[in-house]
Amino acid sequence: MDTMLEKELEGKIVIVDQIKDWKEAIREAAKPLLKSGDIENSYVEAIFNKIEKMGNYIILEPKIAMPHARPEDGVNETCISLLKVNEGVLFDGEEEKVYLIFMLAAKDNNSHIDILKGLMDIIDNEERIEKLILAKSIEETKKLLR
Amino acid sequence: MIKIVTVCGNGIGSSLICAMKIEEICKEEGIEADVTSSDFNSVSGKQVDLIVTVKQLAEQLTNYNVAEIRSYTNKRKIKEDVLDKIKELVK
Repeated sequence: MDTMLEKELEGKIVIVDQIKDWKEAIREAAKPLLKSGDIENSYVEAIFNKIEKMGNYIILEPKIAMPHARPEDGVNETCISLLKVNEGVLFDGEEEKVYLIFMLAAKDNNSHIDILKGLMDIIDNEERIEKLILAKSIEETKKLLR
Repeated sequence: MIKIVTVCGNGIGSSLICAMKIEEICKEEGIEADVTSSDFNSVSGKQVDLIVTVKQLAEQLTNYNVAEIRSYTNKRKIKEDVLDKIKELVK
């Protein structure tokens, strides 16, 4: 049983009903990682700069975003957080709302590969994505990440 | 062996996932390919047979053979978007 992702997300899952806009969503997703010291403020700024320059490369799939920048942008530890927005949030230029925001930070080019694989197992399963979007509590969300 | 590079803003997230998916697809199709991921800024000047990326970045890589993908992670969609181009390269 793969509980790696669940472990990595311990204390780093936030659920909100709604959020002002996508920028606010990214700031909110960064909060647990800033608090734990895993990333610096510069990392969040780098994400904003890159989205401005390169568009929504962070949207992996409809409904799912994975904001991330590069190791040298201010990463102390490889880490991940999850912000669930129950009512969804629209990114500029997109037609479909994003409900699950996994903020990823990698301290080098490969220490995060297991996290990425764990994440892929989750998002390859459309049924599980739907359940995750509907999950109302952190406990329920964690169970779905098992 | 053909050389494929997946491109996203950073080269370690979306594009890395996509590279893993394309490796799987090539293996299934019996195609030998060297698949790596790259960030947008370091892709210029690289010797590659095919670049795989999303629309917004594809529009800025006009000098390359580019396959445009709709998703970095959905294997079925990626396969639909890139397999024909890959097959052309190994003909």
